[in-house]
Amino acid sequence: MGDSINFITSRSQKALKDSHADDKTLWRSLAKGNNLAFSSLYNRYANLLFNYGMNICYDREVVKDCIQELFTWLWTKRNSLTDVNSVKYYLFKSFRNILVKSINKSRKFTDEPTDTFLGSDLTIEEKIIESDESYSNKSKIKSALRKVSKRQREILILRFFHGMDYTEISSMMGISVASAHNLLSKSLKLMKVKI
Amino acid sequence: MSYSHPDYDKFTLEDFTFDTFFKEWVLYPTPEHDEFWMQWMKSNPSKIELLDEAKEIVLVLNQSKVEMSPHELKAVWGQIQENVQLPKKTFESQMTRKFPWRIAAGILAFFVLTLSVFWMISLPKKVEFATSYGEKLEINLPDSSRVILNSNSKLSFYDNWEKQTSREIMIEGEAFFSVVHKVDHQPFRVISSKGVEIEVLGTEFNVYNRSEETEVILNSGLVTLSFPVQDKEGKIVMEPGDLVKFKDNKFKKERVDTSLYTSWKDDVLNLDQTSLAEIVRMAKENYGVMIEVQNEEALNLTASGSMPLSDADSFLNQIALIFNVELTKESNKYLIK
Repeated sequence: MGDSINFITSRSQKALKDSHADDKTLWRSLAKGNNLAFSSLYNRYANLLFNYGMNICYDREVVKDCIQELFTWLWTKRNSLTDVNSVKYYLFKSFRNILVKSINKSRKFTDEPTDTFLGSDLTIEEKIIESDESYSNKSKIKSALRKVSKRQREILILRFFHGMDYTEISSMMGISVASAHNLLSKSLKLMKVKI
Repeated sequence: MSYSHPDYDKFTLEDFTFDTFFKEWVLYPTPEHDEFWMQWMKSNPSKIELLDEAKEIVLVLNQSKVEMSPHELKAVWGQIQENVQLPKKTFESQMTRKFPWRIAAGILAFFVLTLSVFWMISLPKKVEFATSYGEKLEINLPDSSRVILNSNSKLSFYDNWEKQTSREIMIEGEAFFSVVHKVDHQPFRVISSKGVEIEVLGTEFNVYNRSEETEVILNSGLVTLSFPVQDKEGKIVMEPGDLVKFKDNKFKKERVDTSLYTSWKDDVLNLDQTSLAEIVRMAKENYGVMIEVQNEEALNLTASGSMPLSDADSFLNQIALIFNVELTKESNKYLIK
């Protein structure tokens, strides 16, 4: 083992990215089996993921189950975790996959064979929205968001609460960067009308 | 030019809605925010309506925030802990019941282990890292040296350094190296696709190896470079603050402010009389976007200062503001007028 020479001198701008760098440290500790890192990641992300999930599917229990599944899976897989560019993106993307799978599964018990999930989860979600009465009689505020489509809502949430950039959003939602731009500006226009 | 507030005069509804400083003002205002925005509205009376719309949208969006109650948060966590511990217990109890299997499994595991160790020693594995446009990657090497790989770049090596005389790495694109010195003085060599070899013991340096040229910038330590021209003559020693350019079988050495060339690793772009032409080239290489500059003269404009690096869109928008040029986007292409 040699000693490290002249480690990178930090500059002021680095402070802006601190939370990001910190995430990676937690991630690496998790890969080494550190419990504390695992619970810190949970505390940091559980509610962010919950907020995101609730805007895709309005079933509290389903969203909670998926968070549970995500973190259980993360711990089981901890030894094979490799470094990721953005921990946040990785968690959101994995969470989305689990959520979509779970929505599609529950769909099997209702009707029609599964086809492409993007088309199919749209309908099941609309159903969930319809069935969730507590949701439909909220203030005009909620109704403004309710009038935008599910995908429009998702992109608004990703950009607004989670500060994701277009590249991240596009690969998360499986669309091109250009369509992400379109989708977002369309949903904003819709919201403007609704307000 | 130092980076402070973006040019809000040109902001659209969308820009406002997702601007952090604006959002903060709407949701958690401080006197500092108030002062800035009051002033801004005074000088942009025509934009007040737009600002109000954005405010409304921010408020609406913020209301869609849902959280778990502390109780739910705890319950889900409890469930996760139960999930991750349960399989272990059942595994143990099975083991004690089916004792003979344990021995068999042990013997099998032993063979698998020896075989795989044998295989690992005999076959050095090629390790590859690659970044796409707009992506950056931090890599810890087996000797605990560190590399930050810039966008659209590739790095590879064989993981058998222990047995080799030197630690060797191949690079295409751009990367920043922070090399650890080994007690046995094992050299660290970076080989660019143009045949330039950088040999070091422990140091920090930046390698740029794209299209027609290779550039090495040394931050600290000592580096020897060898070029593909001739074995002996093509070798030079670099000192901190040196930049060596290799192009068309010729090399040139100059003294530079190294931070200008390495700030990308901190997501910052430092400019020092940097021309628009250079920035356009950089944007093409790092973000993979098409850019057409219609006004050739604008390419010679220069700017100094620093700005944050993020996605292609915000990067180009900022460049347009700094250089005061008009930027439009047509499907997959940016036009600069």
